[in-house]
Amino acid sequence: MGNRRAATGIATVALIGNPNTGKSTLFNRLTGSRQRIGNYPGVTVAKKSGRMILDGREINVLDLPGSYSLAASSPDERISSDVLSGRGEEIPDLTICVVDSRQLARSLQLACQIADLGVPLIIALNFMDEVIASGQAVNATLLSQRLGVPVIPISARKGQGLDGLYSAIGECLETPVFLRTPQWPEYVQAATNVLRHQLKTNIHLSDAELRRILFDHRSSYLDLVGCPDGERKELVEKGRAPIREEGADPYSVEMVVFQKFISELLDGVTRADNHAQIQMTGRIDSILTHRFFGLLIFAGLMFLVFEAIYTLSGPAMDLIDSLFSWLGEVVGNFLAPVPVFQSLVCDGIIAGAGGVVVFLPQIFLLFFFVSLLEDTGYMARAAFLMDKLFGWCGLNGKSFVPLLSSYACAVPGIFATRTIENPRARLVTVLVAPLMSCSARLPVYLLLIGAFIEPVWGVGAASLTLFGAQMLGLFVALPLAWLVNRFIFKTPSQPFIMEMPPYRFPVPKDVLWRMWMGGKEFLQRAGTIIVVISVIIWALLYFPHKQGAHEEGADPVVQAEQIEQSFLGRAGHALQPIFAPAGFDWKITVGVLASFPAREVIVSTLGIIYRLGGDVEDSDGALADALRAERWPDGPHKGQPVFTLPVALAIMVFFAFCMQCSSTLVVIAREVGARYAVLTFVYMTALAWVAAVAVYQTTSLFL
Amino acid sequence: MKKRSQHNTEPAVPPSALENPKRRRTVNDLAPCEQAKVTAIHHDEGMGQRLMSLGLVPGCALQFVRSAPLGDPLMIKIPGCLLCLRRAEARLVEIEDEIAA
Repeated sequence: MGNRRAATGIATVALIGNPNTGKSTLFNRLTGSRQRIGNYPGVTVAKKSGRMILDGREINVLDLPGSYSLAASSPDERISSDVLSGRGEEIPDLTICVVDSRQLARSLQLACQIADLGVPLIIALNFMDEVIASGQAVNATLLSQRLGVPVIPISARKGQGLDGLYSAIGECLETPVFLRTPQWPEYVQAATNVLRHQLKTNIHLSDAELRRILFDHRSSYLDLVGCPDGERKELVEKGRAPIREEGADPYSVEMVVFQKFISELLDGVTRADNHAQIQMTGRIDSILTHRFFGLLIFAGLMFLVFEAIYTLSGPAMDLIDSLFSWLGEVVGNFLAPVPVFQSLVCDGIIAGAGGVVVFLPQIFLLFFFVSLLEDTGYMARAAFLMDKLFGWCGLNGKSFVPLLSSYACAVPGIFATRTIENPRARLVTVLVAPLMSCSARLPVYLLLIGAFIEPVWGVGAASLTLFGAQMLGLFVALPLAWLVNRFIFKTPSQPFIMEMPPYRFPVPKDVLWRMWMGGKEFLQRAGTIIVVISVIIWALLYFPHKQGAHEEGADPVVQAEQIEQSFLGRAGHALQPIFAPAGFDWKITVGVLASFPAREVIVSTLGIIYRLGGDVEDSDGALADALRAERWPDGPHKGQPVFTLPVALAIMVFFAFCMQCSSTLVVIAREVGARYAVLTFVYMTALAWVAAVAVYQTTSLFL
Repeated sequence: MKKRSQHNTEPAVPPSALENPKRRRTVNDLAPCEQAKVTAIHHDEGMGQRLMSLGLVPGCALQFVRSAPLGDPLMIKIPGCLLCLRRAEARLVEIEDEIAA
């Protein structure tokens, strides 16, 4: 392998392992706060990297996606095999394979595959604390002797055994160690030679890489050769001839060889299993996945999560709101001599920043609950319970996690679709994920529900409407996915195989960490763009400037005229006829137009339009009062309120469906291709308009 | 590769099934809590490989735990872990009664 670190001077260590082996916990332990989430927006998405300090030297740590095998059936596993083959951007000098001490036989299969590629490897035996606690044992020394590499017992969760791991990393970076690999039967070697001859390529593929192709004709190594999709299987099948002649099955020969090798290795090494844990998990499962109680608990939990977000985030949002109002006043007084500048800073920048920060309580809460559900193992049960609901439309239970994540934000949700092996199911999940009610839709729901539902029907109806608005996208997404699969992709059925992780107590530190990262990423990714857009919207409303309109205590009539003759006001007037069938006046139209780059700006835009400044909040009664007081100045409804219940509902439905998020479009384009980003934008916008018109027209008949 | 050689270990329909159709049982035929042993994994575009990488290998003991409330997918227990798979994939896992084995 040579010395790979020569290029940068910084050594790279990669972490790999089966899902649920505590790999991410170990990653957090090793990198501490020096972690940087490098999964946006480049191509090297699903791998995280961080820095650790070892003996005063900086080491780059890569956290590869959890996988069972290097047979690359999902994009995640493809990333791992690319990195390990030294064809990724960052080439690891050492790989740490994290294995579950209670599932050694299965965990070591992956280690064998990695070792076969000739990558230096050490093994971290995780969950040793639980093995010892249950009175069992794993003889790490014996296993290490047999494998020829360090085998370090650790507990990532409790931080035990890390010193041993550190010194093993240090030593193995100096002198690379290689795991003993099984002897391949002669017919496999023969097949490798046949395949090499068949491929006729200038690119050098090692025997191990050729074996990966032999065992799996969809392997990413075959991509290197540039083999057309249609010819792959036929070509590889020619290479497989010696295996078939021997009466062996090319698909299972690898596992058969590894299993035999591993069972010899483990003879006398381990008396550990997770029998007790599985039994406990089984008992909990008999309730949580119960035909009746399971579904009841699931529905209850989901409702509680959204209820908690609705009620808990309120006080924090009020606090942030008043903080930014105070800041606006202080800075405003200071800048009073220059009105243009004062208006830019107060109504544009500070208002925009306030509109970003105010999301944090909701995002923190959402990430908190999602991490909690995932870390306890409940998320897999949710997928199990829900699979049938998603299966019929070409998605699967695994779509549930990305779709639920999209409730926080479609951006991480779309990244999460990488865990879906089936490319079709993944693509369709990506296409419908933006329909999920992301947290950026909350402000407009909260504003309108607070102004028009709660005062009339009370808090119960308000919660229920919010719940309904949150579910709306999901109910539309599934039939839409079915239509796409049935008529566009014409795919018959999708596989769904998943391990149900044992129930575990979540590590509070990990949950808090993910919560923190969620908020931080939101501020970094969405925050800047929202502030920029706030300033643009401010400019479109400020110019062309009407004398005296922005002065302290300016005449409300002059102010109104200013908005009406501003650039955005003119655009709103011009496009209002398009939105008239949905009951929108030109002010709502302006708000809708301003929200296309990022829907979260709607509240601050409405605040500017209704002369309350951009730092209004949905929980702020002033904007709700202004909306309720708004009357049609002319036309057939002259003198009547603009915001009737049908209009409020139509706006909510419009925001539920419309593709008003530039970050999501960028991510879709990067993940599945620009044409799907265009498709998403067109279909969602069309859907939003049709739905808003339909809701306004029908509810107007009754309300 | 529709044509398969005689001594292929994983024919689309195992010879035993042709002789005695009753012998070819799959995970789909199990009742809740029933135990069995895996005899073969059939292949369907890499799906067999996926099942094997999860530990579902020939010779492995298996218990059908329950099906999801809506009938699909299924939860099965193999040594060391619980797996969830749909009936469409369970069809690929051929089993025999543990007593018979």
